[in-house]
Amino acid sequence: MQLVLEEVILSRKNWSLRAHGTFTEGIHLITGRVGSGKSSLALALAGLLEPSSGSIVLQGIHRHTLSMQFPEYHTTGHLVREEIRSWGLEPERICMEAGLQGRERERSFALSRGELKRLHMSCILAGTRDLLILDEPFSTLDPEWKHRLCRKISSHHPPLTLIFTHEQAVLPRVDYLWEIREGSLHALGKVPEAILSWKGAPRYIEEAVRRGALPDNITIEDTEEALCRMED
Amino acid sequence: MQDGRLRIFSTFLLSCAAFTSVTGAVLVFIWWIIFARDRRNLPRRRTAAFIFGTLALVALFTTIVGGDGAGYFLRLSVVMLIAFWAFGGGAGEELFDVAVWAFGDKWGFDIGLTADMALGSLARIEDDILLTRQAITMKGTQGPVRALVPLGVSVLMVQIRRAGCQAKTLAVRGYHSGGTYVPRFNRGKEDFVAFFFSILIIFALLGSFVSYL
Repeated sequence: MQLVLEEVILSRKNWSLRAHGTFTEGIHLITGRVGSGKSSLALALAGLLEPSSGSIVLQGIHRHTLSMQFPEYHTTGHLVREEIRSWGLEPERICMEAGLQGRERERSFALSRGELKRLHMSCILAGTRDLLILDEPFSTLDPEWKHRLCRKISSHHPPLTLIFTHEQAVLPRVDYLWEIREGSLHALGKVPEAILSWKGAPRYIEEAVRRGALPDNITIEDTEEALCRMED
Repeated sequence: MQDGRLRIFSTFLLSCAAFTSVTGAVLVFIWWIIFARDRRNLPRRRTAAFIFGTLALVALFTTIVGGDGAGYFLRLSVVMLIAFWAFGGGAGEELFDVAVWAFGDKWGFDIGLTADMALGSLARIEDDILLTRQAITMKGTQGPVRALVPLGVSVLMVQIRRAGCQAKTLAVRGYHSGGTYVPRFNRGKEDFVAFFFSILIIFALLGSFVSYL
């Protein structure tokens, strides 16, 4: 099961992005600055944006979906329970997971954006898919829920999971790193080796690498452990 | 046409002329072919199909109940073309200029700011509709007709939330009412020619325009 990008070019007006590479099974983190083209690439990989040239081939992938940055776009149920049912899921369980116990009868759009994001992420992660594309899954979540989401992604992710984010504080454990810079998608490789060539790495990783410690993965906990190991 | 004042007056005159009669719509269409050639601002194909498709549906219904559906479709289509020409490229700043020029720093500023924000929202609606449609398609739970209601609600709620954020931003920045703004206008010879012909069209249709009113 893999997703292959063959000389893909996405473009509009004065902007373009080149992407070439293969996403194999595992969790992939794709980072880049705001405006670098993460969301456009996510849309293209989900088959919702036609590349100007090149092709995107889904090999062995039958079921896939994309979670957009803003949960409002996904919201079709007037009430919270209707919204959950529109994903084919059971309201009580999802409300529990999203920290919205007893709020099944509330209007979906009466929830705050953070609550709506929690609800949306709980719905999207409860499904069974071959490929899951998450565009800025951590936006509008507080640190506690970012950590919960990281744990959830690590324990319940589909075979091929792509996370597009510019989050710098709370990140999940991942298998591969990619970076969008200077109008191109760069495959940095497998973690932890890829960390060394990650130019947009979070401060805590930069600092650890500067001190000579290479974390096993990209979370704060992994970085702390690497620094402790070094001191030992 | 570069001068916002002339464009707004022309838009008003041409819209009235096109809406009044089929002859007016034809004359305005000719005006549009000649003077709007550099700035048609036509929407994306899907948006255009939606807008003109809706007009066609209403026209069909009008014909079925015994009205002049074809005439309605023609007149409204030309009004839409003029609207795209005038506002399709995002003329918010221009409306700001005109409002302050016409009504001053207090009322003019408020009217201009409202118009600017409204046009900004309209420009974003196209993307909102596209993204919401894609999200609903991915859910795969509803047909295109059943998806219309959630689509409309989602787009509306996104707009309301965005408007709320804008209002808070203005309040935080100290906006209460009115403000200082210096309007700027550029114009060329063609501006006057186009404006003159829009007056000519409304004069040519004066009889039918008055009888319509």
